[in-house]
Amino acid sequence: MVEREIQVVNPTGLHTRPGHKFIAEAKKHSCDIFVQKGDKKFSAKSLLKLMKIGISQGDLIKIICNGEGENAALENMCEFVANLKD
Amino acid sequence: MSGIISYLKENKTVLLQQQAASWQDAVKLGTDMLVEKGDIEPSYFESIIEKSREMGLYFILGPGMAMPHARPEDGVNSNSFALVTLKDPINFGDADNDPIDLLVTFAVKDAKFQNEVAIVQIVTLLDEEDLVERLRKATKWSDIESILNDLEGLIENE
Repeated sequence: MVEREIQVVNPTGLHTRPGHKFIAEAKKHSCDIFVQKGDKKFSAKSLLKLMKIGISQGDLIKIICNGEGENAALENMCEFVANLKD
Repeated sequence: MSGIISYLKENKTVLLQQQAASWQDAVKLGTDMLVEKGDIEPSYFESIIEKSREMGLYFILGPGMAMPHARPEDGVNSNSFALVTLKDPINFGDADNDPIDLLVTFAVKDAKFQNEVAIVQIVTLLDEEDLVERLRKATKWSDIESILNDLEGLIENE
């Protein structure tokens, strides 16, 4: 299992539009991927679960990958969040 | 700050078992109620349609479920919510989640309230299979009231 903490920088946070893209990106990986903020931790592959966390600009979130290709998945997901512009 | 439960209880912006000719009409059923209340401007509906044309159907949440919304700057006067269920589900054009029969519309004044209260409350409702099943079957206000009462125990920020 690998994990990294990252700050959400895009002005609108991980709401529906970026959320949809985030889920699509996560689904490309076969390993389990989770997002955690505070004590809320949910699968990164379900939009409903991701939206339950409630992520805004400036929030620190932890991305956790577990399973086949976990290192590449972690790199990819962190890069995705860092590059969000919307 | 008032969330979906207190807003719906106070304003009863709920339409159940409706019929709509198109997905745009279905969305408008929700936004029209909020325009009527003075909580949004008619431009809010136009923004949802326009954004969908530009970016695709960003407001589809899951199988049968939509959460129509635009942005705070698209004509929001105050935080507001509306609930629409369709008697005959309608295809929106999202192969993974069509047809849609459950629409929870929201309009909020700021992004933080949107991400951390409004959306969290709505998806908490839509992630509870039992509540969603009752919502789809609901035919009268008392059905909705009982669902909202049960939802109250599940959310923190109401």
